[in-house]
Amino acid sequence: MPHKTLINGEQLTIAVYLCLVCDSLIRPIAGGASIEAYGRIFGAFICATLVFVIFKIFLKKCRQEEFTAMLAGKSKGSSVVLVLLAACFLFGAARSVQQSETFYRYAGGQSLPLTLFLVILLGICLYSAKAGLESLLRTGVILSVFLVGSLLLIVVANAPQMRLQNLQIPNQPIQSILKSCMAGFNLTPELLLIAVFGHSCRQQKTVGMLAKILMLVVFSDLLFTIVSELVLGQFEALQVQPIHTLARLGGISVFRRLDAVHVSIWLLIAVFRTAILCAGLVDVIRPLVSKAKKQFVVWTMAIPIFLLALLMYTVPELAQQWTETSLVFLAGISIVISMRKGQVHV
Amino acid sequence: MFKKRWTLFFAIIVLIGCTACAESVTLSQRGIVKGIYAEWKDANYQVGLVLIQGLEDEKPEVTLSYGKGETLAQALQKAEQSNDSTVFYGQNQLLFVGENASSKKLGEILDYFSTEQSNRPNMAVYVTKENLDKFKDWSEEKDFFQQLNFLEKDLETNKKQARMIYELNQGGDQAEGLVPLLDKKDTVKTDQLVLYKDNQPIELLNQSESQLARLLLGNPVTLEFLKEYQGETLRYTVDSPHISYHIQVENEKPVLEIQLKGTVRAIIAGTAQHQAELSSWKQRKELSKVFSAQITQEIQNLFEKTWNKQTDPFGLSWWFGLWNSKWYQTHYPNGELWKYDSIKINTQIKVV
Repeated sequence: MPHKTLINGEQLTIAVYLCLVCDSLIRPIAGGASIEAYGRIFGAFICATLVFVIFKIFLKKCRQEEFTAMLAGKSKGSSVVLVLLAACFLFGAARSVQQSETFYRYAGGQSLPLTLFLVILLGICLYSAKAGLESLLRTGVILSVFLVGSLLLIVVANAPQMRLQNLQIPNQPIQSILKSCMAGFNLTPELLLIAVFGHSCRQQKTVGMLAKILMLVVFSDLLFTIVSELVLGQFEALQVQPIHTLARLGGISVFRRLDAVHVSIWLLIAVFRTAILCAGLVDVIRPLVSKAKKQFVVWTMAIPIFLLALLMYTVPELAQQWTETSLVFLAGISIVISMRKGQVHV
Repeated sequence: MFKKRWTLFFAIIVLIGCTACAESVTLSQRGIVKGIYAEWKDANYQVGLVLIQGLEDEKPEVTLSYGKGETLAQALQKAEQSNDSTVFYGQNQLLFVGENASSKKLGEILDYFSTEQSNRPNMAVYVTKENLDKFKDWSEEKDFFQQLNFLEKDLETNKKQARMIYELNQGGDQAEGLVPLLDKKDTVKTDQLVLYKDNQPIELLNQSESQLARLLLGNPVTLEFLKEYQGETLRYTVDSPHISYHIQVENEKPVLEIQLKGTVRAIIAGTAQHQAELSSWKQRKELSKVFSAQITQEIQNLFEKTWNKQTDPFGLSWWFGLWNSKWYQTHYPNGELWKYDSIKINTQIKVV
């Protein structure tokens, strides 16, 4: 059943932003460290504009009443749309679980066994999904304060090590921009959350939310790219997690191991992202199952996410990214088509 | 309500179980690494870990733990196993490279530590003239711990511009750039720098050149020089020297003008009479010219040893790229910048 209560637009904006920025923080080689900052910055602008154009069209088609009915499973073709949306969120959640575990293992040194980690993480995330979207969104606001603190700390702690000469001269600017776009373009299921959870808001508002989120994401990426190139220079290309390396490098006075603070904040954000994707998944699955089974929906979701997360370890990063993009695109198209044809029979 | 309580109880039990308290290591069981020494001898790596044990006690003990192995990882593992404590690398900031390793294996050593997770990527690297035995003798000196603390303090104040692993590793096992040479004859000094090119040490910069090199590396330094003037030796200090870079085009080719500006406030002469004479306006004007010429010459000497060896430890070529990236991309790989006088030095020292 879709959410009936009014969602706070700002909280949802912050939540989706956190989900997207989490990608830059914990995904290995998220920014395509081998590409110069020049290419990556232009790439980020182009990708964000493309995503905005695609999603603006999509959000404009999601007229409030029809979309609400569709999410409730009451319009023509809504089951197909709901299944596709569920596939997107399932894929996103599994990918998020895999990324969180990989980062946790990378940053933590000693770590829990994979199965135990997945069980605990899914337990927490599904419990949060069950606790309700409102409480999750409120947590997002608190996390965003931590994130701002973490980002400021990275900049301040690394400021003495910044060297202007580290900024690389673009070799083939156009090629590096194209390469950056290929590596960075991603339609993520988190963006669908704007439609799924924000449908109770006015259309203009959701488009405005989308613009705000994308601007914040581009700004964060700009910050990460420039700071990491200013500090690391060519060494950045050797890093699996350039931003994590920055966290390890920076120090203020006698405080030399600030990375522990950063990693815990980033992991909390990763857990938050997984939880909110689980909430999305549960939300679109509920209308598809019979009334009797509704109460078991949340916990049974653990099985497909768990299995898909294990499968993710065998799929290369770029393949995951493009599969996800195609799934989200397909879901978007199906919504647009069914909106055109759909007849509401409430 | 009952169900909720059980859920909460279960959640707390799970969380307590995940804190890893069961496998905790107390501070007294920890060996805190204060420095790593790496040497290469007879096709084997030798590693010495400077460990501080018993931090809870009044007088912590400093020990050196050795290990040998075909790879650096094996040698480190052996060194860890050869003492009872659990080794902790997180606080270590110092990496010393032995005499033999510094001329043959620096790149590989830097590459290892830059990708290894338990160590920090901003360990300061020092090349030494010590083999393992000499390093062992040093570690047994009474004030060894104080000397290491002195180096660490230097890192905090950033006075000597230590060179970090990530600044020297150029990818793969290639080391390039300037690395401080550790000299510990009487007190610990890191005043001299060694220039590496293609993994090989090619030049040793003296103290005077090294201070200019540190300035060119972007570090705030105070320059000190000696000058023979009117039959006496003067010692003077250039306060807050500042470098700016401009590209000029001469004969259709870019020339980088390096402009150094600074102020001399303190001149120490050999005699009181000479000191008094120097304070006149005319003398000060004359000295400004003399000092500027001397520093220009010093920078030229430095460039003779660095830039003219077709290396770019100061990242000067970057300014050519900034001027015209297309020209830079086509001409830099061919070594065009070294085929004509592409660098011009302009020093403006003012005696006040």
